[in-house]
Amino acid sequence: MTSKTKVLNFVQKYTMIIALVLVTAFFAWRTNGKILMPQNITNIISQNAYVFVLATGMLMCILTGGNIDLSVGSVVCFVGTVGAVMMDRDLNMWLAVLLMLVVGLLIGAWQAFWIAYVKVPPFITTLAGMLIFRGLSNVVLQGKTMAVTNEKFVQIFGGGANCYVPDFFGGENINILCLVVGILACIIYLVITTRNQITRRKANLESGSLAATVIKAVIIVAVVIFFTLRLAQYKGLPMALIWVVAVIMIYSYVTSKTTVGRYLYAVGGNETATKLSGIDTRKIYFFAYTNMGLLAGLAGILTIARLTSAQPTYGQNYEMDAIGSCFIGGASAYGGVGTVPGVIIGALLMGVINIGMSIMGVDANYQKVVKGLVLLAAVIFDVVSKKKNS
Amino acid sequence: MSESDNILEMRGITKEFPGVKALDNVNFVVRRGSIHALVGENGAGKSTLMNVLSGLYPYGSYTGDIIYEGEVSKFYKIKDSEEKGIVIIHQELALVPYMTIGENMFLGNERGKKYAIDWDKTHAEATKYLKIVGLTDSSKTLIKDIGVGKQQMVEIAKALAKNARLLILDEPTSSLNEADSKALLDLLLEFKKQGLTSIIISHKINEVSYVADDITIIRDGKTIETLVKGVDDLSEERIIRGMVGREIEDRFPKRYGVSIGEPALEVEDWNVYHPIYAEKKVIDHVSFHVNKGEVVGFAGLMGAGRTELAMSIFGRSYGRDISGKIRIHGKEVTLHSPRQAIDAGLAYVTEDRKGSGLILTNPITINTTLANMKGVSNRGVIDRDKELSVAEKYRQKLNTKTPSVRQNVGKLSGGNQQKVLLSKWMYADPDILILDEPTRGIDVGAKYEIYCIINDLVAEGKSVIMISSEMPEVLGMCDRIYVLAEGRIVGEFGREEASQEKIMASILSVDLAEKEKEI
Amino acid sequence: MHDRKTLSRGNNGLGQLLIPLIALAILILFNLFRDPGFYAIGISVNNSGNKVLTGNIISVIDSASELAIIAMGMTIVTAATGGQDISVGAVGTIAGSIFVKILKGFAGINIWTVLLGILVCCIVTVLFTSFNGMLVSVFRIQPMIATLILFSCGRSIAYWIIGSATPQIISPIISAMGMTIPGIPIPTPIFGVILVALVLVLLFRFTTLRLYTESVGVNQGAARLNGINPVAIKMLSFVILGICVAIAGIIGTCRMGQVSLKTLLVDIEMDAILAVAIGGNSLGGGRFRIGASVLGAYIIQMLTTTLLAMRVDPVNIKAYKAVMIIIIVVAGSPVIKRKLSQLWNRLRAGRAKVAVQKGGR
Repeated sequence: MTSKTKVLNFVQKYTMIIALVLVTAFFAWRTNGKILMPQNITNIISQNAYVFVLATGMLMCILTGGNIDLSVGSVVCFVGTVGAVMMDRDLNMWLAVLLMLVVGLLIGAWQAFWIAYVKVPPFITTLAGMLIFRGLSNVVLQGKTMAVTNEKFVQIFGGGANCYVPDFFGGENINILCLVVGILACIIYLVITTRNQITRRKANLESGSLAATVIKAVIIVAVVIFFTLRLAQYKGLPMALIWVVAVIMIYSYVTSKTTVGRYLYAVGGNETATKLSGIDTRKIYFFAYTNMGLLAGLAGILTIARLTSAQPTYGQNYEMDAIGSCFIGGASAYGGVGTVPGVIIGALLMGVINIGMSIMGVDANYQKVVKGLVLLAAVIFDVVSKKKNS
Repeated sequence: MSESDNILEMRGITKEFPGVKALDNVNFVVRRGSIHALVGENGAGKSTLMNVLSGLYPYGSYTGDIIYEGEVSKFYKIKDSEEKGIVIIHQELALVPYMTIGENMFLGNERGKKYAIDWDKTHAEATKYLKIVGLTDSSKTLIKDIGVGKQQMVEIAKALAKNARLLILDEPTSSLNEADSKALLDLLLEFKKQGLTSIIISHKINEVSYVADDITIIRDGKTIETLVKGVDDLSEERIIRGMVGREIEDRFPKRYGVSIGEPALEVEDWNVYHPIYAEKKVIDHVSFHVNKGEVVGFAGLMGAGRTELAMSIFGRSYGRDISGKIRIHGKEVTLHSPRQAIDAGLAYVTEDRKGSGLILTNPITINTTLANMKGVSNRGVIDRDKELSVAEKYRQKLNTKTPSVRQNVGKLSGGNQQKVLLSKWMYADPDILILDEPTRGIDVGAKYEIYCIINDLVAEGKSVIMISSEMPEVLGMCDRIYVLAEGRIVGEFGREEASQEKIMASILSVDLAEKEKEI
Repeated sequence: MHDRKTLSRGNNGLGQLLIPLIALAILILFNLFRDPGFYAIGISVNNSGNKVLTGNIISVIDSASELAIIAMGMTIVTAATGGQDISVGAVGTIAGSIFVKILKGFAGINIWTVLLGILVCCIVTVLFTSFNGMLVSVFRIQPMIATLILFSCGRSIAYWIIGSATPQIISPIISAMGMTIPGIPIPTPIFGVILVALVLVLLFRFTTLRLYTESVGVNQGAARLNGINPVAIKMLSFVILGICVAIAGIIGTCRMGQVSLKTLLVDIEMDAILAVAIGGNSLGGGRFRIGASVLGAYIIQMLTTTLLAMRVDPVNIKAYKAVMIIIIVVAGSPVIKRKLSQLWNRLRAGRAKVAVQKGGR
């Protein structure tokens, strides 16, 4: 391979990361570095926690063939409503959490049934869901706001002023626990990567270029350290981050290491071939949409915790954020392509753009247009690169 | 023959697709007012040649010249050739089932002022042309409500309405019964009297003998010879010899220790109806069996129903109102889904590897293990390393040429894609493999490798059903051959007695038997 | 095995209108029971001193005008592409903004400025819907995803054009367009619907367009073999939608006398899709009947008005509508159709058996 092709391949593979770096640099310049300040870095994570969670779930649906779920915003609102009302009636916090997740799961299963077994187009089913659950939220709340006062709940799920993991090491100006966690994460990552490389090379299997792996590792470690440093300089690890990381780890595992995950990619890649290979594709669609409901439930929990209240208007446009993150993160509108890390990068990109524009004081409408353009660019890029490959 | 007697001359036509030369310096001359038949095996290049002529493959996508009515013609789209009076009726009818006869007849050729349809005129003219072709149905009838035979007639009426001077028919009688076929051919003879020139592509040799003035034989994209009425012998034997005359060299690996055992798969009285046209019976009382260690061939021509037979057996992946019995290793089974079929020991290797066999955007590893994820996973968790080694194992076993098993299958050549597809099904460890056109579109070297793989499979005691339109392949590889035509088994031959002529003859005998019924 | 009377609607000419008409009849009867005075029509004098018709029925037909017009355009796009355009509301606000902007560019509002405004508005709106059309037909992006882009930022673009102050356009011409022309008691938007419907019906009846659109929607490949250009047909459908959206946007703006970004044509995309579906048109593309979608639009408006009269919260009305979509789409889904026809056949076989038993011997 010529060096030119090598560079091109590299660019194609890591486009999103490069885009993220460039966009961050752009905003760093335009905000005079403000965006890289500890508080803002923390906000990127804690304010966008729901996006990471929803986008991960949306990815599962998009993988099956470009199918989206328009109802997630309303489901978030409805689940939050149910939880807030229950906790207001003094229901045990953990029971309320369980209830919220179950409600999300049931809603997901309901929609999944119509989509997978009755073959109602996902667009219609979830559009209807979007309206039905918004209406139901309104009915339950009677148009009013309900405060969420359970402090423990708020704290654990990332809301309020104290929703950070307390520093066991009692650092004064800097959250030592946070730093420790960051360093630990890097060490674990390095150990796993090294082990993988050793076992692969021993078995004489395919292992990729050593240089690329090393570079990738160095970059990841650098970014993680930077992030944790910033977080440590503010208030430490936001609780929301814990949940987000949990979701990312679980679903990265599901998509890359489980048969269910594999089938998601297969159905999106070529449904006929998958059917003829003996897989019941209806079950796969059912899984994707039920799972989306579950994650919407989690996002509902995070939302009412962060906003310490439930209102019938919450969750609006959440589906756009999630869908946008997926496409920007490299998911294909035709299905079968897309990864959880990619989607997270996409969500990060959108988060950076959001916060960057806010800091710059950009008009809300401008922001919407920019986001629309970014989505457009991502979708076209996807189509163009598909044409090139075929 | 002087120049002006030829309505059409195609000179030195060469058409290439990526990796395949479909037409190689083809010369084709059609006399004015004649019926000229184009014959050849599947994939010989007949349809491609006509698609070049009609403009479906536009000027510039091929080399060579088309000289029509004495002028060098450059057709960039179908409408260009239609304006000159060249009308092609494709094998896949270009009719829209949910619209009426009248609407279909003038689709793209509307009656009335530019862009404004005059419906009365449309229906009046439709009725006129329908009468010419002998149909009495109202022009307001929906296409889906009339039988295939009549639909074919509507296509011809449609062509007449375009003032065709050179009519091209691609396998016009492939879906018709004896009576309808004769009606169509007689119509062509009528038209000939009125000065219409026709080119008919057909594999039905008896029909070709019946109507054709000239017969051009194409094989492997090259013109072999042209037989002229009155000069050459136009008998069926002569034509078949021209079509098929390939030496069967040592293209097929020898098999050692052939031991054939008990029946592995038995299919009894199998009937299948078409999924959309519910009255059309696609498989008609088919019974066959395959023994252990045997390679059984299914010969026949396109449209005979072999793929439909295989897919309907494989977990009812095709067709509706399916009835019949399947026995695997003597035990009767009901297979309602591909998964049940796979679990019972069947595998179906599709003829459409890109469309329904492989996931082109996924790597070889994923494609190899897809039908048998249980083998590389434990309770739902995939063992990536094991998967990698399975893919490697099959890569080496089948000698798949690829830089790495992580390569996306879409980037492989046809032959290597087919190998990956085979790997998938071999990994599912079936007892009975149905291979549908396993060497289609593959170079000679890779073909040989696949034949060796087939031999290895049956040496292990497995059974292989090979569906193939390449007669030499069927004759060279199979222990027994079933011949299918129009959804029925019309012949069964053992290895020793089989020959290309006999196979073709049994395909034709269907028509003969029908003819006899009429008498 | 299958006779002509399958349980699908559509393709049977008048048969397609059966279910919508039944639904309408049910609504009408329901209201009759609930409140006989619901249907009273009267004549009163409006602010400008002109005689106008009043009453719930008039109000329903009048306020459904924008929806009916957009539903007509949506029908065409659905027929040709098998997908839906969910940006129509947002693009409609862009249309309204352009219209106001043009009018505000002149000292006063007279018939010429209004005509200019309409012209420019149509052109610009068509540009936007053509953008969607290009994504769908040339780039082959799914309509739902392609139109998501304008759906999310369309109103913001409208905001740019018109600013937050949303200037008012007050003039007798405007109120004549949005409400009533002096001397004609019927609200003008209704005439708008009739005009658009007339043009479209004539266009599709007397030209090749219906044929081409339907064949592209049913089977692109076969259409191409017949020399039809699917890309051109799909683009054209978006152009038609663009004009419909422009007109709807203008009517909506004239009603209020200004562009209200938050309320103009809000949620109309969902209603339009619902109207197309209620009308019996297939959401997957193919044959279509424009009149059926208009009927669907009026049914939706009737439902909304009925629920409002019953004092149901507006937010919940959306939920009821959503339930209706699901029921209708499910009823039309092939899986259900097959199950129902199996049931039907079994019933008939059962009845035949009974008949034989009864009649035999």
